[in-house]
Amino acid sequence: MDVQVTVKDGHLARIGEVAAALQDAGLRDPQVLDAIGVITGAADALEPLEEVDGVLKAEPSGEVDIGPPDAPVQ
Amino acid sequence: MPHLTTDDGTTGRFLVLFAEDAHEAGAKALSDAAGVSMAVAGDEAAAPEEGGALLFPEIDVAVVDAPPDQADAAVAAAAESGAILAIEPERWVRALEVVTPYTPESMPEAGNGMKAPAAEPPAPPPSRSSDYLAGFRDAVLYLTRPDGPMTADAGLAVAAGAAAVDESQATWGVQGVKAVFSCRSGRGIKVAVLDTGMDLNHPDFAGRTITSQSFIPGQAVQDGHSHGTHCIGTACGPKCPAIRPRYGVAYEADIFAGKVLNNTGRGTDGQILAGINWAIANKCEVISMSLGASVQVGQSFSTVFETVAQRALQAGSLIVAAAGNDSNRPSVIKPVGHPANCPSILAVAALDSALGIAWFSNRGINPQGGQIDIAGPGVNVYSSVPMPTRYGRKSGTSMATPHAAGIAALLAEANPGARGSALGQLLAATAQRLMTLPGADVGAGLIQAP
Repeated sequence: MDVQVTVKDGHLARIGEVAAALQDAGLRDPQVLDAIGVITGAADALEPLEEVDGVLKAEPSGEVDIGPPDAPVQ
Repeated sequence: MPHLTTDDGTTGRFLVLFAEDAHEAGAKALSDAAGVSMAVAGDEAAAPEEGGALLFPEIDVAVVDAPPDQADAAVAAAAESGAILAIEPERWVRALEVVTPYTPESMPEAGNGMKAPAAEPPAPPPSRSSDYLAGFRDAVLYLTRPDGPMTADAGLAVAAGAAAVDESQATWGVQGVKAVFSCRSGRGIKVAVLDTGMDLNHPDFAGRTITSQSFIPGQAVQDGHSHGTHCIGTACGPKCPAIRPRYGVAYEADIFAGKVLNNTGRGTDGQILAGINWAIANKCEVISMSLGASVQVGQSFSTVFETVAQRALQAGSLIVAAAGNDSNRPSVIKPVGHPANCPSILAVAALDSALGIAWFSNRGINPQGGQIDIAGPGVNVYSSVPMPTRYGRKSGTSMATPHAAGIAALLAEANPGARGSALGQLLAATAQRLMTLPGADVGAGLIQAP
């Protein structure tokens, strides 16, 4: 599943290290969004990610759908 | 029956609606002013005597048989008496419904040309009439209720809906948020619209400062949907487009078009987060997100998005997001969707041009951030769409949101010290209160230009 992970304020300066630790914990294809302190990627489980030092929260990534161009309400 | 029909489809009689449980006072007012004597409807009486009136006490409606001069006096009495809510000509809805006993063969066609259902059980003539009278009562009460179209805080089109607003020079939305009267243009303010991208070749945006980025693998920023171009048009469209009307609010803002939804209108949280990250890295003061996913009653907000929104506010970026279109009012009202339900993201509801709540607009139902913060124009909104079509109309909280983003840009320009949460507070504090609509539906009210 796709996941999104927030990094604690105290670890924002070392977000690259947190991303590396997340990879060791099972996060695949990590993408670091350093302006918001988030790392996205894919994983099989959330719990191992939340145990990584510096991780605030791990969530599954949802989807949004505004409908087709001709939808009556958008 | 003295009055069988008239040329305009009315019966020659009048319907009078009394205030709830005020038919006695109303009847006295009618009697005093117009000499109308009132009989109470029973099993026998289905129509008033000539020159008289018949009261249906359960529904506070009377049918008055009155010549025009007497009717005029009755209308005058209505104006004087708080006990009378409305008077109008009685119409033939189903011809002869009062005087002809029901048989399947005699069932007339309804006005829409459809046969009334044969399976409908027989009903005595007075109840047919009562159905009609009850419909009249319901219609008047709807029209005159505090949030009804006749009495809502109608700065624009009282009662008549969108058609009554003159949009030849500016859309009803741009007029409604008072952008047409503002000396602010959003100059120097960066507005990010995270959506389906933008038609970068649209002539209305020639010469504008546009920064763009796609977060959709394999798809360019170029808008293959139309939603993004429409939203950017509302937030940042030109002051004087070559073809009127004006439809944009912050006409000199710097445009940041982030494509986080693909050309079929779908995107993931991860793509949206990437777009927010990009907007904050570019120091956009305003981030507009006309997107979302449904949330159930009792469901909490995303803590990841809430943390991100807090960091955005600290960085000086205000996020406004669509409250969602899951409702089907009045029967179905759904809670504010994700991510607008985050406490640190402003949720925008949609209004129609009579400043009533849009039938699809979600409500603040869930606690902790699930409330509506502000409202904007979101029904029948005219804006830019990709060429060659150029312009189009759309409805949704998606259309209300970029109005709010544009107004936020004007406020940011006018108040250089107000960024992040201070800008959000300003947006709410300067909104036009909609006294007759619940805060759960419209929050602080209709956003207004400085």
